[in-house]
Amino acid sequence: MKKRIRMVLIWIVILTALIIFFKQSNTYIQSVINQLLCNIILVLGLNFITGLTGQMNLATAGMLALGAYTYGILTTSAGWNPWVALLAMFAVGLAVGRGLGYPSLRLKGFYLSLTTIGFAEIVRLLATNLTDLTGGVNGLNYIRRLETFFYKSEAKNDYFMILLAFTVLAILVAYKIVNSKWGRAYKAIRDNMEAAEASGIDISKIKIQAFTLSSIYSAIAGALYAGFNMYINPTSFTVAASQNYVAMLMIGGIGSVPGNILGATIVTVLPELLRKYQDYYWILFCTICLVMAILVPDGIYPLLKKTVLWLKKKLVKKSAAGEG
Amino acid sequence: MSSIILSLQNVTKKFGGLVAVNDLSLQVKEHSIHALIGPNGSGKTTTTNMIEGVFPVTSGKIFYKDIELTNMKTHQIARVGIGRTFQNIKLYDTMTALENVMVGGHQHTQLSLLGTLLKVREAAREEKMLKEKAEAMLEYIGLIDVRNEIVKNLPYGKKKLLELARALMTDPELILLDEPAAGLNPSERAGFVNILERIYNDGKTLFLIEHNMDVVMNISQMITVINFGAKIAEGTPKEIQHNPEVIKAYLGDRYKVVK
Amino acid sequence: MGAANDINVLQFIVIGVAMGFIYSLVATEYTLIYNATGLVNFAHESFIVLGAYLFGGTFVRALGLPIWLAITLAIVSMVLFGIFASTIVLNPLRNLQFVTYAMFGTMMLSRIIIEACRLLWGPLPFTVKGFLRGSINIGSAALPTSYVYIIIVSIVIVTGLQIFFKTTRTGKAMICVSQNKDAAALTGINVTRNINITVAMSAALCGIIGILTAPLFNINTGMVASTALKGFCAGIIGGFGSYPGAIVGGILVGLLEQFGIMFFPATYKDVVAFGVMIIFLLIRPSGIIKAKKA
Repeated sequence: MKKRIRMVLIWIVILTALIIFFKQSNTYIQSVINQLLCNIILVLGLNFITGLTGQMNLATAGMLALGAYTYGILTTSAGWNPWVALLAMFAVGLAVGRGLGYPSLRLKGFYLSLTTIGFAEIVRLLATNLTDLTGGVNGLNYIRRLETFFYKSEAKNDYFMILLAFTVLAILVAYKIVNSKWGRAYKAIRDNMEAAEASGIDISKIKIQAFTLSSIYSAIAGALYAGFNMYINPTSFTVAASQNYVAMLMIGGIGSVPGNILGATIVTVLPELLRKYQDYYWILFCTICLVMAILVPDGIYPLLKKTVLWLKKKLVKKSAAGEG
Repeated sequence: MSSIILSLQNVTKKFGGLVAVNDLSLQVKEHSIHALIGPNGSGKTTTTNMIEGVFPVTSGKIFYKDIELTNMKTHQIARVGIGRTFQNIKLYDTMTALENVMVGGHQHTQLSLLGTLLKVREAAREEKMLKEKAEAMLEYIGLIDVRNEIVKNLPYGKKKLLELARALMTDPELILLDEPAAGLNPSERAGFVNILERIYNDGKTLFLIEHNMDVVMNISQMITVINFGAKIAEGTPKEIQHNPEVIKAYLGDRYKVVK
Repeated sequence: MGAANDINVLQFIVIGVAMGFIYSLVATEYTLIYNATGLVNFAHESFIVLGAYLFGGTFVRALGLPIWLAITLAIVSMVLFGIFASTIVLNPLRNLQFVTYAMFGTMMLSRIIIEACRLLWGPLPFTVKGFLRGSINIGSAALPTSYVYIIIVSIVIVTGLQIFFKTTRTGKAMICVSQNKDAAALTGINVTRNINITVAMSAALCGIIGILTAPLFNINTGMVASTALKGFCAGIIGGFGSYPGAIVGGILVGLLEQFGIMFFPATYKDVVAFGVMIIFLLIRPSGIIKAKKA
């Protein structure tokens, strides 16, 4: 019980601090924070299929686009209520999850990643060319945001609370799944598919499940992202963007929820902090990523955990020696 | 008369033009220790793979009790009551020993994904039971002190035992062991054989594929010998030791049994 | 009327075959690395771009060298670069635990190289004046020079590669390394050095692709973005890991694309390669020509 109460208190402190920080920041920082929240949801989703199950998924931008455009079209042309449109995201996620999940049963590694790239590119091409439906290169405008009784979100300020609520929910759900038998099943498939089968795990079912979770997370992130600027256009959903999300996953620490949050934060916030070095930023960042991929492929969070453990051990040794 | 727990009936496996297993029939009695031996390349692992559903059978049938296994999917076969260990250790390297064993118990859990998320109390209880069962299994095998070690760091002998623990989690009645003694030094082998005997005494049936004659002759009750995919002899260890066909297969024509 | 149609058909086929050969060369360069290391070089696009920039930006424009010298130096630079990249990046990557790590590594390498190009040569696209411009007259048809050269050079490279594999020691060693590294090492082949040579060859090939495509796309960081992707598709369609497959797949994609333009709006041209690839992946993932691997 004590541990539970402590966790809840930590959550309350962090959230309150975040809200206060947000309220007194300027619009620029606020938009970065909003972007960060969307990215966190995305990376949490990507973690299921790429981090845990080990299937490289480069379609994240495409899934995001599908969610964003579906939500956008439903709330503008079709005039749906934003909350109902949000429910449709589950349907989108399920459809994409099955659509990409079934090929993933027959394709491995590179073949699969190429298929995901193909999927994402086709989505982007459709978004660019089906001008009547999607607004083409000019994008989709006047997308409606999710609204609640207490906030009529005109200012970007108020959307933050909704984004935050969804992000917290996404984190809790992801944490529960990762640390349950499902997380173990995903990792089993990644580590040794043959053995997992012999243990009675239905590989097909679990792989499709992972893809579906990933797609649902991405679709919801897409809807939230669309309401963010109330405008979307195809140039945000490139293969390079998908690679960015993979970078967030790999840098932070595959498999763990804190790692995902850390990775999303670093990759989203760092370019903004180092704006003045903009010209050299990407080449430096990618070089660091490459070095990390070779030396510390598991990511920063496991490294941090090891360091903390090592420090603890040293402290224990010191105090034991001190008492000797 | 004890019943037959595993039955292979005229099983043949062809890879293109190569006949790996040729019209093999054998029956494993319930609660027995049955070994399948033969020179390298005789088709032993192919046979195990067919029983486990990794390869489809070219012709013939395989039965587990009265359930036909032929062409069932591997994970379905695992759920029917058959456990397996592998010749080359197949463990989950990034997880701890305890987690590895827990994965073995998944098929007996009930909750769906949605259930795990929504029914919080039940999920916690399910997880706790799984953990306790896994810990009990590790205790039984003698690996309880390494339960939180990442498997990648464990020595070879312990890894072999861990695979066995994981296979036992599925509550199998029949366990297929593919070269369980491979790579173990004599004292490790003795320890492993002890555990196999204990498992046998607890009512399980063991089907061993093994090269190591010490282990086979010591522990098996019935031995089937195959060469070039076909059965050349079958009988108790004593019978097999004196069977001229077997000796020819292993040692070649130039050796004769001197009585 | 009839004559004009014939000319169109000839031009159509030449373009299809030429672009097809480009895709074939792309498929060949990454197949070289894949067969040797088991890695898919997601950075191959950046290798091609680097080759183009070295040729056009440095050797021709900055140093004002004659074309033949610029081409030679560009290829030599790419060989050196390939050895460097192999030692520092690709060899370490191939020993990592999961294939996703290596994929991520090559993606980052790609970004690094492209950013370096942008920083070193500036963001504005440029061209190499007079290089493979204009058209050649064959009979009464005027075929663009660059396409003709692409076809000729490709045929030379592809034939040369097969001869190299079959006759030279290094070439045969490469085949050994691709089939069984342990066995290769046991028979005295220095596997790491062999891999470095393979990557160097792949890099040189990328350089040649960059030089050949410079007149088509102009030299800029995004010049071969879709070409590189379609090269992946071509390899899968033709038979992943097989050199004859790379050629068959490439030419097939090149010709199908040209057909596609007749029926679909040009903006969907890029979808053709992906569409055909997905069909193959679902029906016959090993491609048209199955790769021979031990």
